[in-house]
Amino acid sequence: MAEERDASTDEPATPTPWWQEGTDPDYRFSLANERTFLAWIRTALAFVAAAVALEQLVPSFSVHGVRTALSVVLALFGLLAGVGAYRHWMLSERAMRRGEPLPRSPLMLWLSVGLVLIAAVVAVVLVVQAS
Amino acid sequence: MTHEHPGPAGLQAERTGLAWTRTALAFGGAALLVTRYAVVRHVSLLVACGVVMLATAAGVALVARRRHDDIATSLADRRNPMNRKAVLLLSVVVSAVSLVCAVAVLSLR
Repeated sequence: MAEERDASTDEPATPTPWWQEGTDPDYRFSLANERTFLAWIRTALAFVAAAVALEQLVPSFSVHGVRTALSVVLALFGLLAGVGAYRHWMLSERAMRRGEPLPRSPLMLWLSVGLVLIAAVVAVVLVVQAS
Repeated sequence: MTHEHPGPAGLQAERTGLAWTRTALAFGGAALLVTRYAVVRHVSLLVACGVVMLATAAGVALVARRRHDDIATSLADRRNPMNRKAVLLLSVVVSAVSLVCAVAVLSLR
């Protein structure tokens, strides 16, 4: 249970960790936040799987190095989603404890743009290969 | 709190437990892919990565099994059912695995 801290009391020696700030939110919101976090983790795992599968199962493109580059970018997207999952979960949980509006996440925009670029690169390579 | 759904935790806890189960399955699938990659290319760092992922899949499956009851216990004790350590650990493992895979793909080209 979170305690209400009086503003007039002395500053504690160690600052309150974020998970003890404010008051406990409705448990249903905490659980929804947890499920969203897990969805991001699965997204990160899908990126890792795509990176490894691309490297292992797809024949090399005629344009040298493209397959490796795409594979590395996909794995780095996994890293981005993995770190972003925790960050977004923590910021959301803290905002709910403080009674603040939920934070926006830039992650979805970045990953969408990244995936569109990957699709564009693959399309261009396939066209070059066919001609 | 009085709700119409069964038990103090109810469907929220069930949904959350199922989300952990889905995550365990995703982990298992990705772990097999990484392990296959590791064995085919003989990279010990990747083998370690695959082993860590398989262990994490088992751990997540364990959390999935217990999550429903843990949530019910938290609510009965009037505690918030936040699972901070499991969340942090999962995020660290997934991020590390992604980084290792990126480095492996680069160095094995």
